[in-house]
This record gives sequence, structure tokens and C-alpha cells, in this order.
Amino acid sequence: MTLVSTLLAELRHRWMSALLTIASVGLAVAAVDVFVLLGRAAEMQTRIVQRDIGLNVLVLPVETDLSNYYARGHSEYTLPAEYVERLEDQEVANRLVPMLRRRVAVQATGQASGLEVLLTGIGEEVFKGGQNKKAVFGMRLEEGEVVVGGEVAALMGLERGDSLRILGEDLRVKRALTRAGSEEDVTVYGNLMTVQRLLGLEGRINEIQALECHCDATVSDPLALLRAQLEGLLPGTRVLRRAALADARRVQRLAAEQLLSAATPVALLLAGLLVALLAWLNARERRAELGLLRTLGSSAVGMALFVVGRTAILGLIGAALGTWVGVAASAQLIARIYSVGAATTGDTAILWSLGLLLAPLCASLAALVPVAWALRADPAEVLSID
Amino acid sequence: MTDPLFQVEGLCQSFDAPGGLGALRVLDGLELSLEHGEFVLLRGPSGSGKSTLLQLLGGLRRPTEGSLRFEGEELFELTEARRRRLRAGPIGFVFQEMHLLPYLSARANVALALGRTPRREALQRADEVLGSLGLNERRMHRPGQLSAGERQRVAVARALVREPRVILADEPTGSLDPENAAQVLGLLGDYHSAGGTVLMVTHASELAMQSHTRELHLCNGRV
Repeated sequence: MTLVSTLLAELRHRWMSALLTIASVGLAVAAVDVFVLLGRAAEMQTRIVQRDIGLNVLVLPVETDLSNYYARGHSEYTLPAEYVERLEDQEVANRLVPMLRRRVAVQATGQASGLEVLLTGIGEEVFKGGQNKKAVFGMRLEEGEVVVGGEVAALMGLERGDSLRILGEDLRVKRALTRAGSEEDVTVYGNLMTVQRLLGLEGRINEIQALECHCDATVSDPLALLRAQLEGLLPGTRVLRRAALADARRVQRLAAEQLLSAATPVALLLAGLLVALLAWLNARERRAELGLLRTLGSSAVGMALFVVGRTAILGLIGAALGTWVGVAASAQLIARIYSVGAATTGDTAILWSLGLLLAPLCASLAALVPVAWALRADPAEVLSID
Repeated sequence: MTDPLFQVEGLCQSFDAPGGLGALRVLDGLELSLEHGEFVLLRGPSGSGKSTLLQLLGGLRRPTEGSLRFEGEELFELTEARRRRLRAGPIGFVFQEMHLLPYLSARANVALALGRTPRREALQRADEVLGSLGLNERRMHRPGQLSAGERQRVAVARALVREPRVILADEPTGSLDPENAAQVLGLLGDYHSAGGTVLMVTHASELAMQSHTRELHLCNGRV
């Protein structure tokens, strides 16, 4: 009578116990798999949300002194206006806005006092792939028209239809914005060609705003990629990032990734401990059988295999079922919860490998503890456990 | 002249008493010699160390002190593997609790004692022994489907199937009614008649033990 046939007989006899062991291991493995896969999907979802928010970057002349730029709000240097046309076929930004910005003194018609504003000429937006989208500023400014910021409007008492004198030319106020609490409040927006003419910089711009720049969700440093792409297309430019919101989202994503990377080992450890505890309890209950086998002269290796082998077999079956259930359940849950779809479960080979390896290993190692005790103690002592 | 089957000198066995009350000395300098072919009854009050002595003789427990030789060899100077082979061969056990594996049939329980013997051969020999003990009809039943007497006869069959030189029986009739007890004793008597040696712990003074050759009384840890 071999220990293998004895083992099989034991499994048949205690089938309910065997089933419960398989179910317990399976549940532990499935729980870990669901946790890992949902976490992975959540991370991917966050990446996509971030991607959809997009990065806003500035393309400036390469000579631009950044300290001066941040202090004054514009570059002292200029770029050819046709630079923006080179980006028409690019796949990076959803929209490109050419601008010419300068600080100038303005004066309301009929008023003696003036105000220094950030005069901003806005060119036609260029959309990715030639799409026709709503302009980012929500209005099209014609030659001779301006939109004034909230602070400018308040200080100068400007309303729609008023005239504003800029660099010796009267321009019509198309709209007075409300205070936004930002640089926009002291900005006067105008048609790019108008501003170029006023500044004597025809055919020149000093800034391109590349808005809603999208990268593949898996790109870890989108700004570096954007820089590489844009600076390659536009020699003599430098690319700056201008997106506090995207930064915040990125920090949020990193926090989510860190949470997942920290929580996954904990989940694995807890599941491993659960499996180990079950295996240990099961093996412990069978010490009297080991005592009998020792009394009958069975070998230590054979007896260890008798108990540990059972645990390993059940652990393996449980792990296989658990992984299968975990992956399938995750696919269903992800499809319901996240827009990334069930395909996010992706390559589950690592889960299968780890599940099939770690669950039986944990169970076997835990089962070895009571077995080792039973093999070291006097057979009479082990036998008396009954 | 051959060595005695068992030669015991100055055998002591102590256990830690529960509650930290010190050591409990169960056997205290016990001397004993058991010759081949004897059928010895070992009697004594509860807790006198009868079962402990059987466990020591079978190499199931290491003595605290003393010498214990099996056929001239110091039992506890042998490796664990040698003692294991003795338990798998010349030394057989029958317990009051029987210790049958509940998930194996009677024949598989008996065949289990044959270790690495090929399965088919082991089962055949188990069937033969069970048949000789009148259990042919019950050989496919599991212990839970057998009466107490039948279970004990299966336990005896498990000891007999290896054709040991000695059977150490620890109250094998303790949980049986007189009729079943007589049957089990008859089996051990048959084994003795065929040349085997039996050392049997029993409380059953009322049983007619016609076949035994010697009776030992254990008291205060000594014979």
C-alpha cells in the first residue's frame, strides 16, 4: 500500500475538507488577483483621466530669459508666425494658439490716465488633424477688436462698445471680462494681425500655446516626450510646461501608484498567511496519523510527502481556480466600474505564475511545521495526540 | 545460545508532571528479560507504567535512563532509521485504541503495514491474513463500518501481516465485550503457538489466559 494511494483515499474520504481547503486557498488567491487587477485598472484609469486633461505647454523663442518672462509675462524675442503652421500635422497637442504678447500702456478714449496691460494678440487656432473645434477663447476677434480683462475694465470703466487707445490707435471693446484673479485681469486680447501691426512686428509671434497635449497613458515623462517632439519640429524654440492642474493630477496618479505598490505586498502577505494558517491547522490535525505511520515504520520523507503533498496538491488546485475566478471577476468588475475596459487585466501570466507557485509553497511550508514536530517527537507522544 | 528478545536493565522513565510539580518517575530501575517464543502478560494498576514500558520496548519513546537491548543490540544506540526498520519488521504493535486510518478499508489498513511492498501483493497478503481471522467478508469495509471487535481484529491483522518476531499488545481487549475479547486473545494465542512472542498489557484478570507462559506485575515502576 503506497502513501500515494493512501493520500488519494484520504482525499476521497475527507472530500468536504478537501473542497473547503481548495475553496479557502482559491478565495485568498482570487481576492489578491482582484485587488491587483482592480488596482491596475484604477491606475490606468487615472492615467487616462490625466491624459484627457492634457498638458498645456508653451513654445517660446530659445533666447527667452525665463526670469524676465515670468516677471513680464512675455518673451522679448520673437518667432516666425509660420512656425505654428509647421505643427499642423503634429499629433501632440489638440490645439495650438499663436500669440504675440507685450506689455504696453493703454488709455481709454477721452481719458488722460493710462494703464500698463499685457497686450496679447491671438492668432487662428490650429487644431490637431485639421479638425474644426470651438476656439479656446470662445470668440473670434476681428481686426480692430479687443477683449479687456476684468481689472482693466474695472479700472478704466470699460464696457462693450467702448474705445480703447493702444499705441496710438483706437480699438473697439468687444467684451469686458469679469475679474478672474489671474494674469488675465490685466490682459487685453486682440486679433494677432492687429497686435502685430500695432507693435510693428508683422509676421512675428513670441509664444505658441500648445494646449491639451496628449501622450500615451504609459508614457512616464510626457513633458520630455513633448519637448523632444516640438523642439525637433521647431528649431530655436524652448518648451515650457504650464499646467498646475495636470501637475496635481500627476501627483495624484503617483500617489495611487504608490498606494497600490505598498498595498499589494500587504494583500499578498495576508493571503499567504491565511493559506499558511489553513495548511498548518490541517497538518496539525493529522499528527496522530503521522504517529501511526511512524509506529508502522514509514520513512520520514514518505510521511512528509503524505501530509505536505496533500496540502500542495490542494493548494495548487485552489490557486488555479482562484486565479481563474479572480481574473474573470476582475474583468467583469473593471468593465462595470472603469471605462478602461476589461482588456486592462492585460497579461495575467504573472498572476498565474505567482498564484500557482506561491499558494502551494506557502501552504506546504506551513504544513511542514507540524509535520516536522511530529517527525522529531517520540512516536508515542505523537500517537497519544489522538 | 541466542540473545533474549528483549533485555532491560535499570530502565527509568520520567515525565514532567503537569503544573510544574517536578518529574514524575513512572519506571524506576526496571529489570526484565523476554525470551523468544514467550507469551507474557503484563499487569499492574493504572499509571504503573505498563503502556510506557511497551512504548519503550517498541522504540516509540526514548527512556530517561537504563539499557534496553533488542536481540543483543542497544535499541536507542541505533539510528532512527534502524529503529524504524525494526518497527516495520520484527516488532509489531496492537493498541487498545486500534489506530486504524478511518479512510482506508480494512484490507488497505492492513496492507499499509507492508510499507514498500507492491500494492497488489500487499493487498493480497492483507486479504489472506484477514481471511484467516474470519474477516474476509468485511475486508472492503472501512473502520467506521466495523464493530469494535472487528476493528481490533483488523488491528491484530495489521500487526500479524508483517510476520513480526514479537507483538507488543497494549490492552487489545480493553474496549471489547467478552466474546470479542476471547476472539482477539485466540488470535494472539495462535500467533504464539506458531512461534511468535507476545508481551501483552491487560487488566482482564477474569479472562482465561491459557496460552500465556509468564505473568508479570508492575508496581512502583518495577517488575
